[in-house]
Amino acid sequence: MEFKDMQVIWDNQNNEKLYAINEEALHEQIKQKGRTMAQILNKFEFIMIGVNLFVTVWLFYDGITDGDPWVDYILPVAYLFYTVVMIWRRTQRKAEEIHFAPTMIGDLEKAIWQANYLIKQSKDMIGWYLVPLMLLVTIFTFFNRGFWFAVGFMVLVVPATYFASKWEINKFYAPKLRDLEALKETLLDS
Amino acid sequence: MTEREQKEIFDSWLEQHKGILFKIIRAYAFTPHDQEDLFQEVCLKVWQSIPDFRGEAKPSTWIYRVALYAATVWVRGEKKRPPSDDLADIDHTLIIQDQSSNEQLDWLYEQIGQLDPVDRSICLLMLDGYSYKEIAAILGISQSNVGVKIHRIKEHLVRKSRETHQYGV
Repeated sequence: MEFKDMQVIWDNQNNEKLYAINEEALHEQIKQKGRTMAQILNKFEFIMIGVNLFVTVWLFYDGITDGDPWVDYILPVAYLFYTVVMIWRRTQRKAEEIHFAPTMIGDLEKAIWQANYLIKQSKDMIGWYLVPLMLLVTIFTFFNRGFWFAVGFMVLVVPATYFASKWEINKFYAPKLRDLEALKETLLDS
Repeated sequence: MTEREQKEIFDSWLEQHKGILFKIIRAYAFTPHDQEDLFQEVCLKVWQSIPDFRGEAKPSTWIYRVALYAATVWVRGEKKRPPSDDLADIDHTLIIQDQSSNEQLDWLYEQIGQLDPVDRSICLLMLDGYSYKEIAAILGISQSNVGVKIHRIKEHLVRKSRETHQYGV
């Protein structure tokens, strides 16, 4: 069979007889699954900002009502600092978001950009958020609860949080990024 | 854009261009379960793309691009995903209603299905009459690149056809 014969076979097909669409069920599925990456990122940022702000207010309130010494305000100040940083980073992301060409390569580049952004966010979370905050909490645990509580926190919670975050990057984001880059390579390869 | 407007556009696109979606799911997924899963994925991506549609391309070209991208990414993910029962408990969105088959067309889909996912995209666009220039614009690659890939695909299909004929498969 030559290619022109295949073209004739192709042109004569009628897939519309083969399938029927259940539109009601389809709309239901779209509603359920219809979250975009942008919505996920927004949600992630709003939750982080909200949680940090809540902890800041709560720690300040607790300190003021208990009449705590100034040193006890280091932790809420740290949380306030992180809240401000997160708001700033969100503003930066919005400004940096660029428009991608409406092509398959454009779609791929957008997905790669988003995956890179998520990886950077997660890495920054470990280095600049989790580790310093955990250390700070450990110090306060030491002063408020005693040596063994602090050691327990340091030995169990800090490494667990650190490795869980690293695991999340290596398990989900990094393979996705590699896959998208490989797909882009295949598309560009001639 | 309101959700109602988005739904109206989606419904009209689905009515007019469902043939494109059916071709894509047939070329990328081979079991009823996978076809249903891919159909939902493709429809979701088309739905999400509607607010970005500026009318610079024909809706059919836009749908082709969005759906092919969704299918290409779905195929790569599908290889790693364990089979799930997610679709077992829900109403089916895609119903296979005509089992009568055209052997030559089935063979052609089978051969297309064996191509690399990117080559599958190019093959579908080529068979649907898109020019090198249009394919290059949809994929975002150069026309010469498209030309090389199409030449290889045609050669491959013709060779496979001869092998099938020779061995009487």
